[in-house]
Amino acid sequence: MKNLKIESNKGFFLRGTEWVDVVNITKEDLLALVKSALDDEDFEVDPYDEGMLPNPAQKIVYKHVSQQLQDIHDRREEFIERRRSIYKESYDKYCKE
Amino acid sequence: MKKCDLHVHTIKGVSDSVFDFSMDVLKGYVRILNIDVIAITNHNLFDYGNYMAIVNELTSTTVLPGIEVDLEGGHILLIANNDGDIMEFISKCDAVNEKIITAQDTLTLQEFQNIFTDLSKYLLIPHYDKSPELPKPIIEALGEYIFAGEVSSVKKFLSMQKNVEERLTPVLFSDFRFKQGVTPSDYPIRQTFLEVNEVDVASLKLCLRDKTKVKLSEKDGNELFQIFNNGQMISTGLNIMYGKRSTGKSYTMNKIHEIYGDRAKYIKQFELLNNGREFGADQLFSDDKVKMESKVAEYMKPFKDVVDDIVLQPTAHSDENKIEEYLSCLLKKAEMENQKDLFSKTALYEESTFSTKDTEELKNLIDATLCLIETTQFRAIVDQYVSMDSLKSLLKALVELLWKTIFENEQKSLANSIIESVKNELQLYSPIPQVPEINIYDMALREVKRKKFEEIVNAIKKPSVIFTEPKGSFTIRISKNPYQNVSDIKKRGGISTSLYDCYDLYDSPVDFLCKLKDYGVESSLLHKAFVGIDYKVMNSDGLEVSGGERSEFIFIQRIQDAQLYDILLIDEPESSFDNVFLSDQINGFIKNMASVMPVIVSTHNSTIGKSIKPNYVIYAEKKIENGERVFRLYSGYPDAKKLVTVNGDEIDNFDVTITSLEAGEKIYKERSGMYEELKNRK
Repeated sequence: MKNLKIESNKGFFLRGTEWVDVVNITKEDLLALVKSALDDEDFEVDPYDEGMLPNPAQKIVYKHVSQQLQDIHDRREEFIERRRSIYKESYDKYCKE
Repeated sequence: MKKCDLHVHTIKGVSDSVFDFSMDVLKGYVRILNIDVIAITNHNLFDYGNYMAIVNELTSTTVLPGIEVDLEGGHILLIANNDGDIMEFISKCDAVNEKIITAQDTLTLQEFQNIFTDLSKYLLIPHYDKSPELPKPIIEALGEYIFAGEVSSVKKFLSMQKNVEERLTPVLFSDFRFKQGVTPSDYPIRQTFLEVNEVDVASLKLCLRDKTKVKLSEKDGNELFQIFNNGQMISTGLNIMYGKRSTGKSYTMNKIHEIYGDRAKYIKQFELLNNGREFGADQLFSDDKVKMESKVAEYMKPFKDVVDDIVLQPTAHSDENKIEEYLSCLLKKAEMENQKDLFSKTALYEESTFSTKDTEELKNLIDATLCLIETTQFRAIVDQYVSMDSLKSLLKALVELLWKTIFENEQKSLANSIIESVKNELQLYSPIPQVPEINIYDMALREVKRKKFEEIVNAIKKPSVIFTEPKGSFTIRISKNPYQNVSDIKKRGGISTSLYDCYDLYDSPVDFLCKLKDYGVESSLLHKAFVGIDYKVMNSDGLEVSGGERSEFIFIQRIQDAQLYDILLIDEPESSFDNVFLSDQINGFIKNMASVMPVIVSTHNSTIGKSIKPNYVIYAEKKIENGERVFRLYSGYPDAKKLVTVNGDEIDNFDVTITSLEAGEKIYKERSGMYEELKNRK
């Protein structure tokens, strides 16, 4: 599912079911997007394209947010594995019955 | 009497390091040390070709076939008759060899019994007071076949001999690898004399059943034993060695030290002298040093933790700067509120980051739960109050909560990273300042900590005795008190870094700590720069010891672990002590030690030399013969008329004793007369 898109020379992100201008993105919005990038297999963002975003503030926000979310999505297995490895041995030994 | 070495290695086993057997070395050993009987006992193997080659070469020595077996983690020698069914013995040894493939392999008792079936046909000698020992239950299980136990030193041999409750007879063998490159000076002098006429398994067993038939020397029973391979004997008790200067006494001591290596306790000449130095932790020895320093470390630990915490937190100066910056940004932003641009109008421009949850407590809880689950020692009492199922459920809930928390923290960290990168770039294009994030609560907490730290430092600087430890008639007193200057900090604190003007801030603990950090003092030493530790030794009157008393104290420390060694060597103790201490304390100690192990004392002093009543005396002499220096050792019992060298040269015992210890008969008589006169005037 697409979470970040560029349309009509503007960058948008998905808040619930609503598309919102990226300049209005808050930290709670970012946290929700990070969760989606880690959890959703079909997480998708339109790649950053400087020429399609004339607003310089939008350029900055969209560039950082899209690139880092894509990176998080690509590395999601690594994050999950890291978390699962903590106390894994004891968990497998005593809690998997 | 037969001189026996029933533990000889000629072939490398799996647990041995590589060595090339040398027939010449074995022949030289047997000839020079006059060995009558040897047993070839390689590790877990018997090589018939090697055995026969030795039998054919050593025509005047009895060579017995044997094997040293890895059994239940220990070692045991199994020796057969040399005229028995050798083929049967070979096949049994091959069976052992097949089971011991690596250095870690060992036979079980059952396997050992299955292989050798009738053990009464063999002589069995386990490693007893020698590593790796055959476990005691195994020795008991094989009790009807075992009459002797192998030991690793004369001291252990004597201890077993004297112990009336000890059933087994001690034996001392070389356990030597006869490899190429070994010179006669390296030949081991560990053999045992057995009172047997015939050399076969039955006769040897019969002899070993009777402790009185097993000796360290041929003529002197267990009174003497051979120390050098030229035949030189010494007493198994107290030996006194004297002679003029430069006659080879220290050389002889060093040679014995070389033979025994770290199994000898060697107190060298002048080693006990304090030389008037101030007493410090560096003059405490071995166990005492470790013990005292760890006690001090334990005492200082809470303070060290405080220092480690304070040193890691931002300084007061840095906190003040942050508050100033925060206020100035806040004011500037308020002034420019109406001038917002595209960049500063974005929602993230002034967004703060997420804080994350601390998981330390949760991890501690999981560790504690695991501890309750895994304890075996306290299993019963834990089970009485908490069921294993509950503990496992608790563990499951805690670990899953930890995973969830870590995951949430990670999500927040990732979001924070995006927030920060966006904010940083936006700020480059906007004149509106971003108000920095500060945590005023943490800052306030740090200030409280700094105040508390000052209180703690001022308290710890107050002079006081930390603890005292009695040591013989002395007491070690450890106290703390403030430093007086920079050199004092460096000396007592053990800090080698340059501290130049640090002491100016000594009374402002927080600033002082910052300065130490600036000077690059190692973090593990920082806490030592606040208060000095003094190690003092007090005498029985409660006063600090004098120079002479320090030497006595050092002696008491040096000798306290002597019993752990196989031999004790003391070179001229009189060079460190006065005669009263020698006769009151040192002589008593030396006599005690000599009752359990061989002791050799080299001396010029009559208080030690004669008053101590040695078991054996050795007189060292240097002569020039044919233009060359020749060193000789004459030895004998103290009441012998003559002392004798290994070559049979003799010297008058009375003459050399009075010359060495009393500076000659004439002076001795003069001195005796003088004392008599003084006594009459009283």
